[in-house]
Amino acid sequence: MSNSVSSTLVSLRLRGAKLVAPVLGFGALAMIPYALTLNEIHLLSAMLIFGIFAMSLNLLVGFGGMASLGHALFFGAGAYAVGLLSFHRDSGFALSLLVGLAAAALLALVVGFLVRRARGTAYLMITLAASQVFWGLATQWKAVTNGDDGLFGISSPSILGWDFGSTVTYYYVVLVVVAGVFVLLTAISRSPFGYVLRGVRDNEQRMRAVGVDVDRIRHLALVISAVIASLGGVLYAYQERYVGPDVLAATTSGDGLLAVALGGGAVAGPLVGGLVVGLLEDVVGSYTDRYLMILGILFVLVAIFLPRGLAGLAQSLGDTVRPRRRAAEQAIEQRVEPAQAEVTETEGAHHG
Amino acid sequence: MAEPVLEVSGLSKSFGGISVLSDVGFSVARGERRGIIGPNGAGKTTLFNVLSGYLPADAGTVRLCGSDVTTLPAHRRARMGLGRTFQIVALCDELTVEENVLLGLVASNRGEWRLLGSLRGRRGLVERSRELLSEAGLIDLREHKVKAIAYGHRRVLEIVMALTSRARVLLLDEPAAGLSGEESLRMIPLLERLDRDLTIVLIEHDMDVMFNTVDRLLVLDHGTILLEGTPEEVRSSDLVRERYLGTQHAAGAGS
Amino acid sequence: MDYWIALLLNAISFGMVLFLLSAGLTLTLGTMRLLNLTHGSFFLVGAYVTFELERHGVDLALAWGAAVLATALCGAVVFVLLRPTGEDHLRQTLLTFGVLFVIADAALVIVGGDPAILPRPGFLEGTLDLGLLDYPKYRLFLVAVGLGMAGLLFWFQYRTRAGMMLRAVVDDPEMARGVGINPTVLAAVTFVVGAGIAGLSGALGGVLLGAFPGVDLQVLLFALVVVIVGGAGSIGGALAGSVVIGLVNTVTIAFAPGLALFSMFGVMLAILTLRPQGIAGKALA
Repeated sequence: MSNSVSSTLVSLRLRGAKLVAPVLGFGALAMIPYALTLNEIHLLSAMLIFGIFAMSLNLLVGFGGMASLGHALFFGAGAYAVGLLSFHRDSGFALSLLVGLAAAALLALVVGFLVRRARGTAYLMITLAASQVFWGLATQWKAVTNGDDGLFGISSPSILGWDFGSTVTYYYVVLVVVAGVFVLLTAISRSPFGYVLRGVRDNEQRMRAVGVDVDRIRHLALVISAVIASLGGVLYAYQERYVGPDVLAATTSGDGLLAVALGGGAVAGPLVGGLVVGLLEDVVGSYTDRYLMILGILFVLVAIFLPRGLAGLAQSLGDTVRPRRRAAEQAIEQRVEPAQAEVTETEGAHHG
Repeated sequence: MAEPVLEVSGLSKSFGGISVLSDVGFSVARGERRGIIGPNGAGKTTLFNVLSGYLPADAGTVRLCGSDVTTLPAHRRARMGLGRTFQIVALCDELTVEENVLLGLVASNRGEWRLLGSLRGRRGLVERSRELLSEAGLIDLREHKVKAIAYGHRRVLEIVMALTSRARVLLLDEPAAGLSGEESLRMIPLLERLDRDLTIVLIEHDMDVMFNTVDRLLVLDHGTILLEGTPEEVRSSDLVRERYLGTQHAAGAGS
Repeated sequence: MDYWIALLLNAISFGMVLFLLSAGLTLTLGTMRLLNLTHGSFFLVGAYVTFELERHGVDLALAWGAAVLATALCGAVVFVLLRPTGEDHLRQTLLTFGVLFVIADAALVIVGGDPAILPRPGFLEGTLDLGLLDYPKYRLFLVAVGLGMAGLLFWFQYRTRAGMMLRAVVDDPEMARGVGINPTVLAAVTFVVGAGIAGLSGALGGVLLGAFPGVDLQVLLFALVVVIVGGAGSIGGALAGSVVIGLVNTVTIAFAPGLALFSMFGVMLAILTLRPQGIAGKALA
């Protein structure tokens, strides 16, 4: 009895500790525009949008173990839905959003069918090839996509007469969406589906043996991840008021993977990674023409030296810097353990 | 005799022209403990893989509790009550022991599609998983990641995983593989404690485990059934002794 | 009639460039289960080294040789960089993607952003009378080089000891390790040689495909589709895949240029539906 109470207390404490960082983080993001210029707020919106993309990709890569090099396809689907509907039809925000999400879901259904038997390298290859093909379509089918010039003429976004296109308002809209995606993905990560997805990542055979339809779990993960990515794409198009083939390029997918790997961890890591990569793109790009070189070197360094990302780095740093606190935590855990051991022994006695 | 829950007839499987199983047929009654022995390469694991849907059969039928499952994928057979373990431990290494068990339980309730609600907060499942883990002696390890626990414990967890689904038939592929003599002896009571209604088909090289557990034996050789009978009948068969038991048993006792 | 024969020959000569391009990629995929994203960069390096050297007065044959050596060297560097990433696909992908960026940017600094017009040797200028039609000599030369390389690789794979080891590793890396083949050495050699051949494809095929910033990713797509269609790890598959993609691409460009890249998707869709392991390969784990 006391055992279950104390373990509940421990889990509440742990859960409380886990809530503090996100609440502080989002609180800071909500306050920070007061200290920034409009240009900086615009940049922060772009970084957050890239954070959505990174979080969505991590559902696939981190949870599902499906490293994809074609995620730009879904981000681009959202962005191009807005661009095409604005360019050809002058449609509003709500319709563009719906079409963008639906297009990504549909594409994910098709791509998911292509990769249903692909694992590891084959998954990377097929997703990359599929997204490159659509990138080719965007650059070459000029009558529709306007080729490399891209699509202009996206008007200020509004819903039911409320125009939220001003830099500051749009920032808060983006922030709310990011928070929503964060909460949703955190919920999914704790849900049965989230665990089953990790189970599939770790051992497909085992998941089949307990009755899980592995192919469909993977397919659903791709669709969810694609729809969230396209949400980022829609926001991107209204942020930039322009859509070009770059959103579909392999480099966008690669940047997403970099953000995921840089961040590490479950949901917050990729968000932070996305913010960092989004910031680097802008800052490095504005100071030097050698943006590509620097980004490339960063890719190499992360691959070689940060196998578990910033989250992993923070964890190992934390373990060395704060051994005392770590010890205290272990003491709490151990206080629970002996009680459990007694339970086992009595159970054992029954059987013996 | 109770009704058969697993009926196999005319089962054949070949890889690239090499026949691994040919015309295998047998049936296992409810609650029976059936052992399968045979030299390496006799087709035992292939038989399990075909029975559980991990490999398609070239010919023949597999019936589970009366219904034909020959063409069903593995996960469908699992849902119909066919549990199995793997010769090479198949667990989710990055998850904790308890999370592994919860996954098995949630899947058996068809709960794997729930996107909301916490897996670890589902009281009924958690209670059931603690029961299973207590019975298996793994309760202390429940918060440990699977990759961090000892091999012997993983072997036990492998069996617990098979019990998480509402299995009526269990296929155990060398549950004592890689265990020390002492550890494999501890496997015997674990197997004996299992519900008597549960049907068990067991592949095992450790003859102590085998003869202490099973009611009947099936001797497989070169993909065909050499003999079927009680452990005593098999032990006293000259054919089996000559082909298999003599050498293998000595080797088994030695290791 | 002439038109169709010319189209077919165009497809085949283009296919041969694709074969040179993808031979190395398919072998690294087979032996190392590694997707090397810098493979398209090797094409770029091969083309640019040829362009720069010839521009500075180096004999073209020498420039070709230098291009192959330079890309083989690039391959060696990438292979060494890949060592610490183990078998982690995500890290391998990041690393090769990063090197792709670095090479692309270095090329931009050294050669500049304008498309490079690659040189052809004088004796391959003009056309050859094939009876039914006059056909460019250089394209025929490409067919000869492609077939020659295919013959060489087949001979290597089926007639030499190292080639047999290579096939053993492709089929079953664990078993190969068991019989004493050192997979690391074999993988290194495959990687470097594959890079060199990709460099040759750039040096020779840049005339057809062009050499410009961004060509690395474009040819990478071609190589990927060839390998998906042909099946990883198989020279024969790469040859078949190259010809199929050469045909599809050439025909689409002739009749619906805007859909050329998109047609790749159709081929992939068809092959992955009908024969997921590719024409000649086995499924990648």
